Amino acid sequence: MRFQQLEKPMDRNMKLLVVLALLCSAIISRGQSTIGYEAGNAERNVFFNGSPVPDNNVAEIGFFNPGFDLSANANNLTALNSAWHELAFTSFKAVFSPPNDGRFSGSSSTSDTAFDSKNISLWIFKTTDNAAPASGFGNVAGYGIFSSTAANWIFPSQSGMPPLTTSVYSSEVNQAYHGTFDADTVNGHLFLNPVPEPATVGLLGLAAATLFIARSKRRA
Amino acid sequence: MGKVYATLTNLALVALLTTAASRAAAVETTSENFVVSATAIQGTSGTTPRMNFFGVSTVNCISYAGKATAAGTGSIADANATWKQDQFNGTNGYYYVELDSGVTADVVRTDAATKTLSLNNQSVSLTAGNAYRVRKHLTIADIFGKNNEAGLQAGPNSSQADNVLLQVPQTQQVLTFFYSNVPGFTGWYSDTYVAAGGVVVYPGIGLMVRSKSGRGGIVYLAGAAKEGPTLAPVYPGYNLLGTLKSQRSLKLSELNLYTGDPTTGVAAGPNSATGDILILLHPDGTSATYFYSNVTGFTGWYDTTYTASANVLVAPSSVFFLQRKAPRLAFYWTIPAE
Repeated sequence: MRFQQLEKPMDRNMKLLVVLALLCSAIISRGQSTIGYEAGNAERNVFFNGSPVPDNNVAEIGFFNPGFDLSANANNLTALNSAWHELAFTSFKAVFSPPNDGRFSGSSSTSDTAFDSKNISLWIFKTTDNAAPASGFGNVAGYGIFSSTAANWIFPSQSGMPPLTTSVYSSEVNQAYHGTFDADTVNGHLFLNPVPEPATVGLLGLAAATLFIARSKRRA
Repeated sequence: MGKVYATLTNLALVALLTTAASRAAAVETTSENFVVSATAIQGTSGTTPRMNFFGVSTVNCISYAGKATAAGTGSIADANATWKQDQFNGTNGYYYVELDSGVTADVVRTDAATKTLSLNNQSVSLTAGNAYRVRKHLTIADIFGKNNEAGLQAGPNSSQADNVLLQVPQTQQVLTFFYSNVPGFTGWYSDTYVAAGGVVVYPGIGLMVRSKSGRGGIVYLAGAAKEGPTLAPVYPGYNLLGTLKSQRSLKLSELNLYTGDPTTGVAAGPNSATGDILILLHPDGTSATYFYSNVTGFTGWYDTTYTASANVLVAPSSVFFLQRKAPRLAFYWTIPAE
């Protein structure tokens, strides 16, 4: 049994095999981060008008300009859109469940440093034709913007230490704009609010203007 | 390419010579397949450093093999041993013992008088007749070359030089090394300027190289293919792991990571938020995340888009991150045999 001494004839020859000369490439990552996002199994699903959002509607992942006042602009689709930086979107689909159950799951990679360390938001839409939002949002019936203060709701920095990956889940949502959420993170829901009617928007604008004038007069 | 070919030829020759030498001092029960590999480290094409990930698919050849002649815990007693005092520790380098079960433990003392090896793992238990093998650990200098034969960009500090990154799962730290070209201080150093050529790279651990120039490099390795199972610890948090395979890809379902018992393998879950996750790094720099679903009717490996993924392949020399989610404790992963 000794390696250094031959005590018996070798009954099993050392296998003389130079098995292979491999020329292989290391796995390369050039500052690519990968982000998963989902309202998947055993997580809150998405509701609109009392029903799960049907399949083929869309959830987008991205960030809003830092400093952008989401609360103040939550009803203003144009303002929201101009401040939005979309990484990717995915369609609602069946996830270990029947179809049209208000669930989605997607994953996307980027090497764009513009996303580095930005807070992640999900912008979720319900459209009249259960498809992606049209340009100008003409088919959007409702939407909600959701985020979280959880540490993983930050886009990984391309210069950070691997793994440059994060996943965000509807069960982690604790911030909602133009939407709400249940406390139950597993069996609860994210709720989208309807698009404000133009009349409602107009009234809101009128109210704001009146308030502004009233304040101005008070100051004077 | 000509350089690569020439070097590979040389390596093959070295392997042949090594084997021939081993035959002259043969051990009857030990046979090993020798592997020569060349792994390309790609440089960056711009100003952003490029990360390279790879797993070491070879181990050093057996330095000693024998059978325990008495039961022992945390040590190996072999009355037939011929080793010298401190042959497998101290200034001779870092060695470890591997058993047929796949258990490994570092040698901390080699006692010639009592013919005993003391191990750093007190839970290692042998009975008389158990076979053991002693191998020398691979080090940073072994893998990248004592004189930076891999050709990474040297520099006066870790900021300017390419970096070898070693993730330490126990502490969740990433250690940074570089090849110093400072006269009088050439060699491998940590980013805190401690000599690091002798830093051990444990079997099954993945490595990262952060390239900062366009030059890249090639890591040449010649050694034995690790046959038989290997036990690798998986700690809470991120673990950068390889399969130790040099020849064949493994499916996720073949990795032995899911055992059905969350104390001995990855924990399943209804989604990737709750289960332990495996992050597979792709050649294009992207990654994919997998979890083991325990949802009735949907059990098995799935990705985060809930696509069945049991047949996803982990290529030889590739690596993946395994995230063991707290508060789950560490477990030993049995890396499948070659």
